[in-house]
This record gives sequence, structure tokens and C-alpha cells, in this order.
Amino acid sequence: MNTFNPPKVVFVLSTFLLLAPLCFGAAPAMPADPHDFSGIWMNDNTLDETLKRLGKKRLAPGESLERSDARISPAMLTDEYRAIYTRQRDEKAKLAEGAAACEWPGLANLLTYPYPFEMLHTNGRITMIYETDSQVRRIFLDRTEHLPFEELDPSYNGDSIGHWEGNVLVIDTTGLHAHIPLWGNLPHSENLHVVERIAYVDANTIHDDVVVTDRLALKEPVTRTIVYSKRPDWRIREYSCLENNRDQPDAEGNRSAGVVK
Amino acid sequence: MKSLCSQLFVLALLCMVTNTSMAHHSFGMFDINQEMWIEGTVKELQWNNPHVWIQVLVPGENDGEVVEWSLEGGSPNILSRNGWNRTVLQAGDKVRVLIYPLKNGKPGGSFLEVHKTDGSVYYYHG
Repeated sequence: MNTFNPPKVVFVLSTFLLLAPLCFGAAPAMPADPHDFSGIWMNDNTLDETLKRLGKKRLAPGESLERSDARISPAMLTDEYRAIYTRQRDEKAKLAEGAAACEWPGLANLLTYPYPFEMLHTNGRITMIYETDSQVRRIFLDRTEHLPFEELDPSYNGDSIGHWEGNVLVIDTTGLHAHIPLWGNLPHSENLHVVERIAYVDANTIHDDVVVTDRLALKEPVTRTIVYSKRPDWRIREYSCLENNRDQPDAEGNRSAGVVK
Repeated sequence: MKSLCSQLFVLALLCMVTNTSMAHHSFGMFDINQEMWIEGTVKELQWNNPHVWIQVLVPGENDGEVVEWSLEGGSPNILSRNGWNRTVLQAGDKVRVLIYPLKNGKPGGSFLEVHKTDGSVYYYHG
């Protein structure tokens, strides 16, 4: 008996092809030009964005979400910088809980702040304009060397040069202020070196794989992947920490908590 | 299958999430283990950075007493992406507000949601 049944085979094949992406993961659509990051991008892993994805308006009392920087710890520091960390932590403990000056976040924390940024491509350069304190990063594609030491003044966002490795934008940054801590409040030296590898994972998502090294402060590289989603309908607003900071700590580091007296 | 995918997606998110309430300071002065409602009249919406403040006049325990509460929320940047704008609360609006109160017992807190008498609700998140 001939058991070959063409309609049945077509049905089984069609069903398999339909379900295969669910089993093996559908290949994500990629952008037409993987070298073009133009547009507005938002950190996917902020509290606000995460709650939206979870369909929640707030955390339950006492609930907390696991932090992506949870594994970043003072144990990564050299003995000398662990001592600095401890001293800074003890100094900060004398201030009211959570007290902090308004200051630009510095490159590492800028990458994870809860605000979007816009990327622009122009001749020999990629420019990243952040909502956070109107920060700007200029990535020089037309330079293969960092500024010479005498011109490399330490700054909040450093000197960034970039190049392409296939579809990956590699950004190399040095010249960062030593007084702005890394993630987890880890102190670092002016030898801080940040390498980012940015690439599309689908048409609306990019990953920034960050590797932070510091031969004086860190025993091992600090690595982190930051996920950004494209937000074509968002507009970049202004954000300044100094506009109406009712919770600025006083000279003794006490916070008023903004309460009207 | 979809349910499994959703669960894996949520799990992946929870693994990646960053605590980004952080701005220029932490919200550590608020008791996030305690939620409370206050009811009163809006005195002012201070729609500015780094954080929005709502001043609410709340009847006190004694006759005729009015206590002014200071309620802190997110930046206009975040709130505007959650349906707020500078005009959503006006002086004189009657409101019920869900807050995390200050740990020190002073009349202040961090607002979570604001209910107006016209039925509209404004959330810090979502």
C-alpha cells in the first residue's frame, strides 16, 4: 500500500516551519545598514522600562529587582584601591542617607542612566547626545591615536576614538577623571580604560559590550553588556540636576528631604 | 509555549534589571516597605528637574489645622513618558495620593500614583 500522502506531508512541513521559530528562536530582522546607529536609543534595563515590560506600576512593598551590577564588588579592587573604597564609604556614611552632590555621572554611569540619547553620524565622527545633564560624547573615527598626554586633560567622558570591526563599532576611551566612581561606587585611577563594542542584535536593539580595565585599581576587568532599544517616537528633553534640587545636602551633609518647614 | 516564552522573558529581564531610581541621590530616605494614602488639595505642582514635587495641603488632626506635604516623584523626563505634563495637576485639585512615606516621619514622601476626582490617575511608573 502506498502511504505517501502529499497533502499530509505539506501540512506537516508547513506546521513544522511555522513552529520552528518558536522552538529554535526566530532569526531577528536586522537593519538595512548595520553601520548606521542614527536615532534615539533608551537603556532597556531601567526600573521604569522594566516595570512597563512587566505590566506593573510599582514594586510590591519590600520587593526589589536583581541588579545587573550586583556582581560588581570591591573584591575586584587592588588592595590599595580597596582601602580607598573603604575610606570613601566610611566618609559617606557620615552624611544623611543617600546624600550626593549634583555632578555629571561620568562615562560608566552615563551609559546606564535612565535617560535616552541620540546618535548622529557625520564625517569622521559619531556623536552621542544624552538627555542626562545634556552630556555629549564625541567618537572620533578619523583618529587612530588618543590625544597626546599633554593634551589629554582628564574629563568626565574622556577621549574616545572608534573604528569598525565588521559590523561592530569599537570605541576606545581614556582620559577619564579619577574622582568620578565606576559602577558600584568603585574608585579608579586615571589609567581607567574603557572599550565598548556596539552592534545591532536586531533592527531595533543594540548591545554595548563594555570592558573596563585599570591596571592600578582593578585586579580584573569589569565587564557589562548594556541593552538599548530604538525609540523613534521619543524626543530628547532637557535634564539638569541643578534646576530645582530641593534635596541638596547642606554643609554638614544633611538632607531636608524637600519638606516645607 | 507562549506562556513558557513569557516566563523566560520575564526571568531574563529580572536578571538584567538595573536599579535606576538613582539620579542625583538615592530614594533611601523613603520607606519602601510601607505604602500610605494621603488625601488633600494640590497647592502646587513643581514640574522641574531633577525631580517633580507635588505640594499637597492635608487636614491635620486638630480642627482647622492644615499640614503641607511635600511629595517627590521622578523627573519630568520620565513622568512625561508616562502620561504626565505640566498641566495635569492644578492648584485646588482634590487628590488622593499613594506614597512611600519619609522614614523620619515628617510630612513628605515619594508619590506612586495620584487619583483625581474626575477619575483620572497618574502613575510614577508605567
